[in-house]
Amino acid sequence: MTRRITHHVAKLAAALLISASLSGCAQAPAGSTDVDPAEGFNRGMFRVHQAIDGAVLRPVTYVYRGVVPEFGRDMVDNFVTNLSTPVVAANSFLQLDADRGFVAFWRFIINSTVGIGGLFDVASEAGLKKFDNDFGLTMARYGADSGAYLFLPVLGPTSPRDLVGRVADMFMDPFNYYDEGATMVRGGLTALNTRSEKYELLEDINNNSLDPYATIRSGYTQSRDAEVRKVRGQKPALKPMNTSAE
Amino acid sequence: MRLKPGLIVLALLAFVPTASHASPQEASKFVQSVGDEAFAIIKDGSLDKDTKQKKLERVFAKSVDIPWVGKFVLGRYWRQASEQQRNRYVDEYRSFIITHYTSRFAKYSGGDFKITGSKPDGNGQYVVSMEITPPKEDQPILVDYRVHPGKNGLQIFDVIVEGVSMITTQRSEFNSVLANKGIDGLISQLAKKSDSAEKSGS
Repeated sequence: MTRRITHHVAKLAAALLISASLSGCAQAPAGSTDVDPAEGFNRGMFRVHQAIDGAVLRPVTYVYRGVVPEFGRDMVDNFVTNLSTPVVAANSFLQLDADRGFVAFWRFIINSTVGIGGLFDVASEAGLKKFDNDFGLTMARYGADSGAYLFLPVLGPTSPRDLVGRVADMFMDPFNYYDEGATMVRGGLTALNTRSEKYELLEDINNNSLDPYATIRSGYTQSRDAEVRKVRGQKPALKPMNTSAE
Repeated sequence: MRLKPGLIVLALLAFVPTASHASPQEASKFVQSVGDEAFAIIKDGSLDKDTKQKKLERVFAKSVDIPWVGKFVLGRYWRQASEQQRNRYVDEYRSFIITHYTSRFAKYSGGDFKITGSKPDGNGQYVVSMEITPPKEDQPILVDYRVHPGKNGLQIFDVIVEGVSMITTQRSEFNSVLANKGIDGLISQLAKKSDSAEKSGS
């Protein structure tokens, strides 16, 4: 078992190295979402993920959605979102976006107090809308390219840059220094909440796509690209298209 | 600064509409009317799910440039296909894409939308932006419709949801199938999907 894990870690490290080194030369034609130098590795990991998802993540989420009523799931969502808000604020400030940094800051203060420890998102009703931010985007803001597309079991679609970003976010998070048991519980709740938020989307893709792997890659690449453009202050990428010809 | 007459003429020319070019207002009006029609069907409580779906299919078929999208998502494989393959593909793609999209909306019974902007995008194309608020949600979804002049007036050729373009995503999906199974493989998979969608009634 340990040998197999080491094997996987070695494979992952190799894929990271390969994708990092390829990212420089394998420039995507503008707007293409099909550039995937680590596709063989990724598809293997995708199969592993689909097996884990089918056996554990999806059934657990299915039961969660059946047993816990919507207002309860909203509270879980608000709670884990609130715990991640200091990291969102920190990254916004690192991106020199003080406006959004203060939105996140006040969201955390208001929801932690008036919102009873983050169970209620009262800040949203006061006009301080929820948004996401992470260190992957902070690196992108200062020019880091994503590197090659990666798919990892449980973590899902990502890239070398965003994987580094996730680790940095973990170190940045004050709550991760609090208590190991509490961190584990929070991690579990966050994973459950994330899978539950994506439930309908993933049902749709798994039932309707001719190639779920390619659909997820394309969708993720485009939506991440849109987020990166936003923090870089660029306009959305709309490919000029000559639709009258042919 | 000295004004150059040539430049002024050029600038004026840029605003002269040509016959086939609509205006941002027309594009916005077109998307508004499609949205009104679709939401009226979705919100009509007297319709059962099958009737809803049939009505939505008709709206979809006339407002979306299905032949153009079908060609686009095939990418370079369109040029490689034979006449007979192209015809079979166009037929299968049409029924696939219509059920694929309308079945998602037939489930809904409420929600609202608001057009927030419309701007030209070159080549007589327009981008019409919309905010859709699904029932029981307060965070609206941002959707852009790309519109161009079709055979009978304006038609939609792409829907971009929160930065994700439907035609780009579908082209990736199709090209992956095409690379592994070729055009005949793709056609038979499309036929299979349409069949199972009809049988399950979704």
